[in-house]
Amino acid sequence: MIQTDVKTPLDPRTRLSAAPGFERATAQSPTQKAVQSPLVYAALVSAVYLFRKQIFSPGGLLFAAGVYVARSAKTQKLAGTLQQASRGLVQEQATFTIAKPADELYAKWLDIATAPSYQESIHSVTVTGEDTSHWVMDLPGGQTLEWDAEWTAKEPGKRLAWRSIGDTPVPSAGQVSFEPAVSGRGTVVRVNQEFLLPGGKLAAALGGLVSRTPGGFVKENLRHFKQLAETGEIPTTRGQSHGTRSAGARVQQAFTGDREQQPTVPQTGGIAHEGVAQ
Amino acid sequence: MGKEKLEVQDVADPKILNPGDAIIKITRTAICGSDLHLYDGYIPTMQPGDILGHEFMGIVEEVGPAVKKLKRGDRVVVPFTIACGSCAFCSDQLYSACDNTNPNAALAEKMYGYSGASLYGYSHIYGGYAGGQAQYARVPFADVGPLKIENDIPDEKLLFLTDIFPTGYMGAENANIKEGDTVAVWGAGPVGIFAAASAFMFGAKRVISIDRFPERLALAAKVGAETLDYSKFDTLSTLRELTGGNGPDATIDAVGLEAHGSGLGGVYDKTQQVLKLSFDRPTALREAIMAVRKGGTVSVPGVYGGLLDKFPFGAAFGKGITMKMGQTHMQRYLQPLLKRIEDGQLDPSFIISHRIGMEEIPDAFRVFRDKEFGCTKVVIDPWAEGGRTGDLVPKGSPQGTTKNLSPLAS
Ligand SMILES: NC(=O)c1ccc[n+]([C@@H]2O[C@H](COP(=O)([O-])OP(=O)(O)OC[C@H]3O[C@@H](n4cnc5c(N)ncnc54)[C@H](O)[C@@H]3O)[C@@H](O)[C@H]2O)c1
Ligand SMILES: [Zn+2]
Ligand SMILES: [Zn+2]
Repeated sequence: MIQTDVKTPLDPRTRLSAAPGFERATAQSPTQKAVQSPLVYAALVSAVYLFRKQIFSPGGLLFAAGVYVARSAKTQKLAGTLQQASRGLVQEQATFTIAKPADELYAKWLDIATAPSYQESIHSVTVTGEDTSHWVMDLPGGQTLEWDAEWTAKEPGKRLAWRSIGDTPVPSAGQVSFEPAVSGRGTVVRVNQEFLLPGGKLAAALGGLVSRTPGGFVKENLRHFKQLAETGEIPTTRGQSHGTRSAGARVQQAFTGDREQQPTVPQTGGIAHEGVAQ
Repeated sequence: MGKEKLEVQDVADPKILNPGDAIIKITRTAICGSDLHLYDGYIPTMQPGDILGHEFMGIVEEVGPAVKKLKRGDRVVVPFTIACGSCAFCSDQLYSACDNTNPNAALAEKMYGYSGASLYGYSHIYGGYAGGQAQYARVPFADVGPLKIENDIPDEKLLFLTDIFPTGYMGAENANIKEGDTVAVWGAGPVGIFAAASAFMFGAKRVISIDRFPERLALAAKVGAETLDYSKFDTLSTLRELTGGNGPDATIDAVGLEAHGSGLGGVYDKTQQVLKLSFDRPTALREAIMAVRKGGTVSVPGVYGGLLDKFPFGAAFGKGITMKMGQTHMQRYLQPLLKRIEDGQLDPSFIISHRIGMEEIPDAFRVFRDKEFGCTKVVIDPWAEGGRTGDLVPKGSPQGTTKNLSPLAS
């Protein structure tokens, strides 16, 4: 049987766990470890199960069910996710088919100084060496986050991988692969990224960016890359004219990730331009 | 500024925001049946301050640095779907499925599970672009959408290339009509009338238009359709009689999600819609499925926005019908239909009942929705003196014949 796993794992060499500083950032106390162990989790699940159902069914049977649940793949996965979440490790994947040849797309991605044109909140990328670059990200409230990165793999027309280097509050690693589409039209482009999110600065940043989760960023950045590659521009309504927006509309925009920006001011003098505003 | 609340406001002139943009000075624009779904609150993610309107034409005022095919002063018709022209879908001429024009694609995917082309002035899931019931509009991807007009045919005869003529035409094309077929069309609004006219272009022998407003049925008759007033006759049994017991070869739902229902079924649908249990009132669609002959085709240019209740899928399956639908792939039809107008095969302006100015738009929405004063299609001159033409209320009609007209229309 051929099994299809749509989750592409990062190359072990590019994984965050291979990055310097990973162990330190994720070191856990023995109690933390114990709390997250699948066994403790299983006991917890069983207890809850027992407590909720004891009125209706014999306890032994339920305990067996509890153990079964705890051993099931889903529970293991959940325990794993919890463990990861407590360390702040976030893994995301996004895939788009782009109507351009792989070589062209590879070259575009390799030209990393252009990343701010399609990656949201990236202020600048400066190439600092053959394989290294310096990144500046805008955070809400006028703050910035800076880090250095290096290419860890360059396979022309096929794959690029990178990771952050040196001391950075948010260690990250990622890769992008380019694969000719089955249809023969275009290229399947897949991005995998890992971030190690601590509290503090980044929590604040995420708080301000209500509309995008890390996964949302990975996906929308790749969508922008596709739009730029296919059409030469990224569609926008930012800065367009509109009628009076209510406060509610603004909150709604922030939460739904609407990219239109507030506000536009009525022009003074010249021809008054009218529009029907709902 | 909310359901059934429209206001005319002065806002900033639109600016070029992307290199492929153009700014159009609008010479004519219109109100569409689709706008009524926004007006009545059935399309989610509208916001106060949104500028409506997607049927507009005009003169190019300014172009962005990447625009090659247009220059200042060109006269253009702007199709209502915004397409990039270069994604896989656009390459297949499936322009309304375009991948690249929706800035809020993530939002659309969250709500509908996919994102297609943006539309002007049609809610934030459809891109949130400012629309064309205005004096100026920004037109993105200007090399792909706008159709350059190089004749001196008046605006009114060309304006409906922006939406309803191609929409009716694609509605007929999707109906798989063969020479000699009988086609039934639900709705004798602008879309239904153009669908009926187009059905003949594809070789239909008979077209039966179904509606309840005599002035609309009269327009359908003008393009050669037989008419069926569903408020007087039972649609399904009448159609069966008219087609020798078989049912029409193809049926077209040119009504959409706000179908007027009669009897208990209609009350049930309306209640569900009001309670937000389901968005859509699919009376016409149900009938189109029930009426079509075995192995026939149901084409749906009428707009749906949500979930359907009591959808006769068993009949659809049992009869082995084909269904085709969707937002019109506008850019595919502009040239060929312009040619038909230039050749004098059709003058689309015959459906216009009202010519108004900007200030009259809020009232015109109500008049158009409620089909008052024989309203069949409203065209707007955004530069009309004082924003009014006085055409909305018929001359000499006693004040107060209309339920809701606001005092400013007097
Ligand atoms: N697919 C597209 O790209 C596209 C483009 C434009 C418009 N549309 C849609 O087409 C539909 C019609 O547009 P329009 O401008 O003609 O609108 P309209 O409101 O003027 O016309 C609708 C007509 O349907 C009639 N009707 C209502 N209930 C009926 C029923 N149960 N049986 C028969 N007729 C009934 C009404 O009396 C009215 O005449 C709308 O849903 C609109 O959104 C779709
Ligand atoms: Zn329309
Ligand atoms: Zn496209």
